[in-house]
Amino acid sequence: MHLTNTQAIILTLLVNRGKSYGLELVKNSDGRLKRGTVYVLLQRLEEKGFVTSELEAPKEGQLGPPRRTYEATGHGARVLDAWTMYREAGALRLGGAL
Amino acid sequence: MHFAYTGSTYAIWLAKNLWRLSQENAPYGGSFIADVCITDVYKSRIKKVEISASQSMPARFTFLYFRFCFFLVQMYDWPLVIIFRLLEMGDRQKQTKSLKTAPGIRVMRLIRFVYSKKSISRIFEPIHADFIEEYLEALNAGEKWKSRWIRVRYYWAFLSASGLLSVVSIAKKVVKFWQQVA
Repeated sequence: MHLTNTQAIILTLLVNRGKSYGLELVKNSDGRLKRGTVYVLLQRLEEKGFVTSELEAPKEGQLGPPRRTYEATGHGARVLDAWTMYREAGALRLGGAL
Repeated sequence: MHFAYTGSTYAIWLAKNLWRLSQENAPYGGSFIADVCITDVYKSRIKKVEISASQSMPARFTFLYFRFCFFLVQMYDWPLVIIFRLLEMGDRQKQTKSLKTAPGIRVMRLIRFVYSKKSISRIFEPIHADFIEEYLEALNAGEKWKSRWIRVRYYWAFLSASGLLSVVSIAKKVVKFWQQVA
């Protein structure tokens, strides 16, 4: 399964922080995620089965449209682990070569 | 604003009624007790107008006294009423303007015309929800310039999301085509 760096950031945030919505992810990413692209990436992750989403029930007095919250699946968490291990091994190999 | 205006109107009504009362009481000696305080009607202009009549005051003096008070209130009142009415009109115009141009509505209309339901519910509606949340937060905090900046930033977000979505869909089609060929 292919995972880009940005997708890995999103998955890491979802695994560490649990259920969150796009704006929370952007705010917690220290500028690594953008408001415009986060939802496209989340949709891609959902299509791959790494993430699930559900529409929040509108709260009393809420003015905007209802929010969609995202959560990492077990499969997504395992893929992230594998990806992290792969990256670390790659970095080690690169460090050894240098 | 409305309260101040209503307050002054009420004061006038009260003064009128007191005058009427003094007139009605005139045949019976014209004595009654009335203490009326109009406090902070227009905050800066009229601080306190006190209308009072003691029991011993004769009816004709009461009548003159209330007439003077009524004149005072009216004298202060009319230019302020005009100003407040104008300000209220301005407020009303602002409200209708803000209702007409709620943030992101036009962009969402355009997006609904171009993209599929799935893309709208998964990508654009969440962006719009975030936009409204941040925009209202800034407005509630009284940060007008920040709210404007948020508007610009989210229009850019809509643009970049649609751009990325197009790139992703093209890439998907290319991959599908490549798989079919190979």
